[in-house]
Amino acid sequence: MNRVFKKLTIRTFFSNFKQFLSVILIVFMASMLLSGFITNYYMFDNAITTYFNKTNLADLWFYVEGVDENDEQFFSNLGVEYEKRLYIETKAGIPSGLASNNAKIYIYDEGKISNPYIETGQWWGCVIDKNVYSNNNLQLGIDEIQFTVSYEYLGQNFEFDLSFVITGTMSLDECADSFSSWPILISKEAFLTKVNTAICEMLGIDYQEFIQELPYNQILVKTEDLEATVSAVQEYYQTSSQNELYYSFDRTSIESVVLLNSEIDQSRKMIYVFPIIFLFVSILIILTTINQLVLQERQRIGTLKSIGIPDKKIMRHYSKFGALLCAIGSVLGVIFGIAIIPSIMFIKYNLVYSIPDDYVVLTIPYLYILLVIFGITLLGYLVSVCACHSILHKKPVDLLRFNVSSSRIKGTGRLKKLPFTLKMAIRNIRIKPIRTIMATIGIAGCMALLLCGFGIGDTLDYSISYDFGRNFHYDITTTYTDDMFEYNLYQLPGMTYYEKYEKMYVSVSANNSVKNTNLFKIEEQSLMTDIYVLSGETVISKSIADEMEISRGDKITITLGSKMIELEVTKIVTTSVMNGIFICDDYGFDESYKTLGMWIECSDVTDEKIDFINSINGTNTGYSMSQYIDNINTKISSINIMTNTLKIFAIALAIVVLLNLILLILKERVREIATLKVLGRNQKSIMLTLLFEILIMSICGSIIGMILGYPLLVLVLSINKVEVLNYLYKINFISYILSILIVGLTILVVTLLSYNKVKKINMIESLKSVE
Amino acid sequence: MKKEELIFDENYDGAVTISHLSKYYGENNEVKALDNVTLQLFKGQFVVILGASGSGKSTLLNLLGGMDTVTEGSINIAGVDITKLSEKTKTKYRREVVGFVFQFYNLMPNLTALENVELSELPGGMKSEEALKLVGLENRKNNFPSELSGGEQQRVSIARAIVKNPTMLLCDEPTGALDSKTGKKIIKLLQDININKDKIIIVVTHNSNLAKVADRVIKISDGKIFFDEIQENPLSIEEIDI
Repeated sequence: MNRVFKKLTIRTFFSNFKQFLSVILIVFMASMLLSGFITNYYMFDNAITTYFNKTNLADLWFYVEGVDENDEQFFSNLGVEYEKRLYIETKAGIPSGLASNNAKIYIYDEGKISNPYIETGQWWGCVIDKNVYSNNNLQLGIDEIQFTVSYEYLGQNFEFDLSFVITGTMSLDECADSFSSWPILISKEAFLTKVNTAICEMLGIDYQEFIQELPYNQILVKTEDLEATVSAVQEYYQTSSQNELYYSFDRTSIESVVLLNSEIDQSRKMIYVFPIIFLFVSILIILTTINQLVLQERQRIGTLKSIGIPDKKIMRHYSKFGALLCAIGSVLGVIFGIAIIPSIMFIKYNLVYSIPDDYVVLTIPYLYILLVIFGITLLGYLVSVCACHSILHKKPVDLLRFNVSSSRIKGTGRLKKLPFTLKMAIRNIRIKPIRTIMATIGIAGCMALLLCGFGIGDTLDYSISYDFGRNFHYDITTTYTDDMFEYNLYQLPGMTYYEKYEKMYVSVSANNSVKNTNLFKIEEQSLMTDIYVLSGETVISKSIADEMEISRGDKITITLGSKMIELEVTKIVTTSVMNGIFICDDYGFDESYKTLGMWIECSDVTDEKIDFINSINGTNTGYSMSQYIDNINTKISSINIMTNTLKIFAIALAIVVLLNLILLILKERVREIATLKVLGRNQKSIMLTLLFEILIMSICGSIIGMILGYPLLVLVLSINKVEVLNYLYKINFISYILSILIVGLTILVVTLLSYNKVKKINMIESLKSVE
Repeated sequence: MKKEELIFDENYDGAVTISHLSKYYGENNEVKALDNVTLQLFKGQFVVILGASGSGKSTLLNLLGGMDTVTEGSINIAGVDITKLSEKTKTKYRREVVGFVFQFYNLMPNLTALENVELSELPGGMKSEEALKLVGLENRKNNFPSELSGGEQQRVSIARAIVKNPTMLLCDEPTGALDSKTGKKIIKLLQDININKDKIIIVVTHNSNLAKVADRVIKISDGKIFFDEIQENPLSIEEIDI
């Protein structure tokens, strides 16, 4: 008997292959996404963890006035691993023509902590970020990096240009997000040689007699007990040190580290969203396909039962199709998922971050991958058992009878006046509730995914334009360090107005929660922003207020350095990028904590005007509004990848669901179609019946999908939060129209594909016998 | 190019002329389902085609019904060779000229008896309710096929076939799935339908007893006609066992 059942399995498999193909395809997509995202998460997490470990990323960064022997003694006694270095923020360029850019220059002594990963060349000399190097087609040993430094010696301030031949390329974990500034690493010896030579030339001193140590301004620390170390360091600098401690950072304040960690978090969350949606649709498709199979074979099942084959045996026979299809789909999906998805994701990671290639190793989480295959196969089996369950409980005599239940088509008298095509379509829908539900949910899923895909783009555009089109009206923004900047700014052609602002990174506490955010001190009744602040007022971004459960009238405490102030929230405003607290009064915060900025109104903003601002002494980096928006878009580029992936998979889902639906309809109705052909019904009217049926389900599915689109958008984006942007959710009307058009077009294409199938139905063969 | 239309000769005498009709299957035409068949059928005839399984009788019926393509030969009805018609015109031919009655009824399971008949109703022709009345099912018109017995379903099938007032009624084993008593009723019904002798009724069967009630009996074997006889005095259906 088993041999016969094996033969039956093989024959049934091949005779239903096209139908089964849709199950394999949808399972393939689900398992591809699932295994691909799992592998990507493990690979990325592994790469970044290795990166941080191998480069010995610091746990704490102390920005200090200087480092003397007593300070070193203190850190030595503290029992922590530490390293001092000089950090300079300036502008750097390539003399051969590359425009100058913001640069973060690190002058290292030994490179014990937060040391770079040298990709090519050598550590000694000048090493630059590998992405900057390759994007600008630079050459080792030939091209030079040039920058200007200010240097204090014996109370005298020197400013001079330095240039270093590029000796190597690197990835530096604390500057892995090379969006807006170039990380440059220079060895202590190379730097001192150049600086001391320059000073000696200026002062006319003999180089051999000149001894100048580096003016270190950063101490990096490796420690497990962050809080205790910070407290001890703060106490030491307040009581004993000759130098001042400006501020301390931990890893949560280093943008690159935060972005990389949030990217790991996002890659983990990716596992839960889309694969789950596809798994859900897979379940429905398996359920419908196997249910259809057993309905189609009900007389055979009746015969098997009538000749004494046990129910369990029959159930196992039909259920194994679900398991078999899921096993094939999941094995293929896993292979393609592991091969494709991490590769695509790492193209994006490498565009945005400097990650050492050596640390990107294909890490297959075998246990999870096996679990994916086993889990999906088991799911297929169980869903198939459910699909067979009802029919196997019928008596053999019932199964051998004519196959249509009239109960569901009773009470359709009201349809009498409708045309045949529509009447048949409606009754067919009522006869097959599971198939109808599957198709409706499939279309709903497709519509919701499409809307979500378009909605992500709309939300990003709306969020960015909300701040940089509505909340803020400036044309150029820049930060600066020198008071002369304001004077020089008057030479900017076309400038009509400017306003100064101050930005501080503060700690806000309220309602037993604490959050670090920006504090903006802007001008009273500023003309550059609609965030209107009057003296005595405190305005807070809605996202922060919501997160900390702050309402109008609540008190908040702002801490910066040793200064602590209590303010009453007077207004809550919606912001997306410029999130923080807005005030216009001076509360006496230490100047050293402040970043000074300028919002400039200028006609005809051109690259030349931006270059002019960047060339003014004392400016850090100037951006036009559009450059600033581009910068933000780069930082959230991972979300754009998600948007396109969503749209592609939504269309794929629609095609698979609709093809499966069409195949099911054609298969179960081949005899009816053949009869209609014999009766002289033309192809058009037969196709109309199918089209009406698909259209009714598609319209219902689309409406449900349109309702679900917005919640799905909120769900997807809420688990893909980024630091740089607070989402203001929105789906534009045009996105609804586009989604409807795409779904409609897919339905049309799939229906047209079935046209030939209907045409090819052989009347004689189809009507030969009941079987 | 002139649009192909199904226009019959005005002086049509109701005859159907089949000339050298062949239907071969297989890559090299090795299976001869119908081999060089020539015959003429006349209006008013109740023809029974007898033959064993695979003899070619159903193939002949299918070719007459425009459901299949011929390998060679022609079928001429009122000056039109239906073997030369396009698929579109064949569809029109099936819709307007021939009526089919199948062994397993082939009713639309999701349409009521009346709606199944309405599927074949032609504008200006017989009404479906009238056709159902003719087959004695006016009281079951709102029932779905699953609510009807086999005999009732076959009667609906006949009503569907006659509602268009076809030139030819093609019946493929119409009693094959029915008990003897019901089968007799169906044959009686088919005879009654042709009371005005305005149609050709062709019944394909392997039941030789049915031949006794026919005006004409044709026997086929291996795709060839080996017997073709007009019966001057056919028996009534009550006189035979089927």
